[in-house]
Amino acid sequence: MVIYILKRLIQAVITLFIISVLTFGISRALPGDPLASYFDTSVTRGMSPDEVKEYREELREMHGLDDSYVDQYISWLDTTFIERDLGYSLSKKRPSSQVIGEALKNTIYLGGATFIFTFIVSVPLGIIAAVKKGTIIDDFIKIFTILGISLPSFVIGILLIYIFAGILGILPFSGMTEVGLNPEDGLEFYMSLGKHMILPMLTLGIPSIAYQVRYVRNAMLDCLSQDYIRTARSKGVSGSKIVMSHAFRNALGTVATLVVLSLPTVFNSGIITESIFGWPGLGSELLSAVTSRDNAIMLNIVMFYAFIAVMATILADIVLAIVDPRVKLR
Amino acid sequence: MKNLLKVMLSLVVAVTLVACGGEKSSDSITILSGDMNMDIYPYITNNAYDNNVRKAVLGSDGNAAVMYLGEDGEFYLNETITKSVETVENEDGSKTFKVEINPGIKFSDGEEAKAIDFISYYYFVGSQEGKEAGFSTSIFSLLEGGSEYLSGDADTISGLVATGDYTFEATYSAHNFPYYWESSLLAVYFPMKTTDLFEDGDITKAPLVSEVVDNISMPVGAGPYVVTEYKNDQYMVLEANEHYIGDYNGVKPSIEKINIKIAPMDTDMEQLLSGDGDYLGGVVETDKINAGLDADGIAYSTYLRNGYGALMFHSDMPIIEDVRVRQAMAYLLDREEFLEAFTGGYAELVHGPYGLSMTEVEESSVVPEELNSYDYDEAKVEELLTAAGWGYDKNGNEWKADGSDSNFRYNEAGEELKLYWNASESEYTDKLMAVVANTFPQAGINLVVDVTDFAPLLENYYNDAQLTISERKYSMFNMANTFASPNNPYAASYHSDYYGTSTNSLHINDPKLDELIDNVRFTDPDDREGYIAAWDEMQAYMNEQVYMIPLYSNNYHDFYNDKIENVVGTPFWTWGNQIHTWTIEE
Repeated sequence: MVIYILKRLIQAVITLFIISVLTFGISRALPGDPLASYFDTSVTRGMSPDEVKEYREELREMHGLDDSYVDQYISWLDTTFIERDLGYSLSKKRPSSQVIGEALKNTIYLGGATFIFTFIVSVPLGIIAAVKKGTIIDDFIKIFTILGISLPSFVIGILLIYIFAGILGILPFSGMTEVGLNPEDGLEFYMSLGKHMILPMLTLGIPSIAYQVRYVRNAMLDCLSQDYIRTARSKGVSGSKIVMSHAFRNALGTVATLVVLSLPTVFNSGIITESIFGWPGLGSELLSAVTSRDNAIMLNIVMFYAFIAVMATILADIVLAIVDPRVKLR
Repeated sequence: MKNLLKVMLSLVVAVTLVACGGEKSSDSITILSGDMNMDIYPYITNNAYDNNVRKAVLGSDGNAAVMYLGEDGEFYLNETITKSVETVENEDGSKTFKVEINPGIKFSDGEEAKAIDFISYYYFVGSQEGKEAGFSTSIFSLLEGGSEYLSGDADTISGLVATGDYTFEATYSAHNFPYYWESSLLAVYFPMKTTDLFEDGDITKAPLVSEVVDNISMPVGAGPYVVTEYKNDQYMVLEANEHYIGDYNGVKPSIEKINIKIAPMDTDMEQLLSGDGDYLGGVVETDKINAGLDADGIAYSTYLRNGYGALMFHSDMPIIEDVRVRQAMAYLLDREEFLEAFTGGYAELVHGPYGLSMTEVEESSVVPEELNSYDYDEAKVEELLTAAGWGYDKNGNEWKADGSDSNFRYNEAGEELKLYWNASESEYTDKLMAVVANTFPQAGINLVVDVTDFAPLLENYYNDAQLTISERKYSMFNMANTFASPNNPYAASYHSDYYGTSTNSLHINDPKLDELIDNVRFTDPDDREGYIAAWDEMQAYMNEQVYMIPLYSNNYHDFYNDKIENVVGTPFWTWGNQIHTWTIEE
C-alpha cells in the first residue's frame, strides 16, 4: 500500500508538472498582453509615442514579461513553490493570495454545503430507486435524473431564480448574505448565508444528485441480485435489514469512491453558477482573471483545481481499497 | 468544518424560514451596482462602479474639489472649498494657478484638510514605488516638472507645491495653452490625507504604498460619505460623513446609510422590482427598460448618453485609409435598422463624435442638421468604391453586382477589397453582423470578422505604440465610447501628435483635422461663439471623413424607488455626484 501511494504521488507530481507547463503555455499564448490589465490607457494618455514605448518597456521589464517563456516559467515555479508567494494580481493590484484566499473561502461555503446536500439526497434516492425498481417511484426518479443530467446548470439556475426569487419572492436573487452581516453577527449571519445559498446549492446540486443517484441505484441493484441476498431472504431476514446491512454495505465501496471523487466539488462551485448568483468564489475570480489576462490568478487557480483533482483520484483508490477488501493496490 | 456545520444547520433553518424578509430602514437605501474592485483610491485600478463611490467618499468630481462638474457637463468653481484662484501667466507661456482653500474643510476622521492634502496624492501616485505598483495618471505630462518626477529624475514636482497651510500652486506647462477648458485643470484637486500616503505625512519621505493597498477600500476622505464596511465582490456600506463641509451649495447628506450591493446583470432589474434594491442606474437593455417603465412604485429619469457605440476605423490601414471606402461603408450600413434591433428604439442616431446632451449641440448651427446622415444608398456605394479604384472583378473585368456573397471587388493591381474586423462576443456584435452580413459581401466587400475576447480587442484597438501598420491585421472595431468632461478632442483619439499611441486610438494622421482640433482647443476661454464655430467646423469635417461610423447613442434610464427624491438625470453625473442631495419621502 505504501509503495502504491508513493508511486501514485510521483505520478501526481509528474501530472501536475505537465498541467503546469500546459497551463503556463496557454496563458502566455492567449491573445492579449498581460500588461493591458495593468493600466488603462488613460495612463499613457498625453504621452508621445516614444514616451509610451519607454513606459511600456519599463513596465514589461519590471514584471519580467520580456524574459523567455522558459525563464518566466522557472521564475513562476520558484516564486510559487519555493518562496510560497502566489504573486501579484495585475488587474486587482493586490497580492494574489489575498484575492484567491477570500474567493476560496466563499467557494468552500457553497461547495461544501452542496457536497453534503447532494449525498444526503442522492444516496437515499438511489437506494429507493433500486429497491422500488420498475415501480412508478423508480420511473419518477429516472425522469428526475435524466432532467438533472441533461439540463445545463444555467437553465436550472435561471428557472430557480424565476420561481423562488421572482414569482414567489421567498429567496434572494443573488449575493452571499444581506448587506452588512458578518460572522460576528452569529446566527443572523449564518441564517442569511443559508438563505442565499439555497438556490445556488440546488443549481449545483441537482445535476450531481442526478448523476450520483444513478451510480448508487446501479450499485444497489448489482448487490441486490447477488446470491447472498437471496440466501438472506430465504432465511427470513427482514427487507430493511437486507437492504441496509447486506446490500448497501456491499455497495458502500461505490458510494465511498463517489464521495471521494466528488471531493473536488467542495472547492469548485462553478463559474456559471457563481456568475448567475453573484457568488464571489473561485469560479468568478477565474473568469475575471481569464478575461483580463491576469496570469497570476489564472495559473494559481487552475493549479489548485488540478492539485485537488489529482489528489482526489489517489484518495479514491485508497478509500476503495479500504472499504472493499477485494480491491488490491499494486 | 465548524463553520461548514453552522452553514448546513442554518440552511436547514433557512429553508423553513425563507419567507422572512429583511426590514428596510427609512434612513437607508440600497444601490444595485455592477462588479466593483472595491478600490476607492483613484488612479490605481479603473472601474466605473468604484468611481461612483470615489465621488461620494473622496469628493472627486466636485463634492470636495476645487472645481465641480455641473449637471450640464461644465466646470464651475466650488466656493465651499475654494476661497480664491489667481491665474498668473508666466513668461515662458506656462500658467500658474494660485489656489487658496477655505479653512474648516474636514476629513471624515475630523482632522482638518490643508493645502498639502490637495496635492500630495499626485506625489504618491507618481512616486517610483507607486509607479512600480501600477498607479498612474496623465497629469504628469501637463504639469511643470511632472514628467521628471514620474521618471524619477526629480524628487519633487516643481509645478505642484503647497505654499502655505491653505494655499497651493499648480503650474501647467506652456504646451497646454491656450486652452478653452482652462478652468477644468483645477478640477482634479481634492483632499487626500497626506499622513495616510507618506511616512510622517511628509511628501519627501517614503510613500506608504503597501498600507494604501491594504486599506484600498476604506480611504479617509472629505466627501459626503465614508465607507464603514465592505466585503469584496459583495457589498459596501457608506455612512454620512458627519464632518462633511457641504457641497458647492453647502448641501450635506440627508440619507444616513447607503448600501451598495453587487448584483449580477442578469437579475439586477428583477432585484430592483422586487424591492431588494432602491436604485439601478444606467440601464440600456430594452427588456429591462420596458420592465422598469411598467412597474409600480418605480420612478425613472432618462437622458441621452454622452457618447456612442460606433464602428471605429484604423484609418492608417491599407484600403480603409481611403475616405471614399469609409464613406461607402457608411452608406452601406443601415444604421436605423441596427439601432432598432439593438436598442429597441431607446437610442438616437448621431453623425459624428458628439453626444446629444452636450451644450455645444444645443448652440450649434451645424450639428446635427447640416451633417450628412449617410442614409442607406447602394448607388452611392457603387460610385464611391469605383472611384476609389475597386471597380474590377477577380478577372480584371468591370465589377457587377450579381447578388452573390462571394463576388468581391478588386483593384487594377488585382488586390481584393478585403477588410478585417475585430469584434467582441456580444449582442452588439451579433446584431451588427446581422445588418451587414448580406449587404457588405453583395456590394463586393469581403469582410472577415474575428470575434475575440474583449482584452485582445482592446489591445488591437488601442495599439499603444506596439505594432507597425504591416504588423497589424484589423482595420475595423466595434466599440463604444463615452466622452470625457471636458471633451478635449486633442486628447481624444484624433490628433496626429499622438499618432501610434492609445491616445489617438483611431490612428488618424490628418494635418487638416489637427488644425481644426487646434482651433477648438486654442480658443480663448471667454470666446464661446468662436469656440462653437470652431467645434462646428471640426464636426463637419469629421462627418465628411468618416473616421468612425457612429451607430447609436443610448437613452440611458436610471430607475429608482419612487420614495427617493431629488434624483437628477444627466449623462455627466452618476449617483456618486448627487447622492448627498437625495432625500427619502416620509
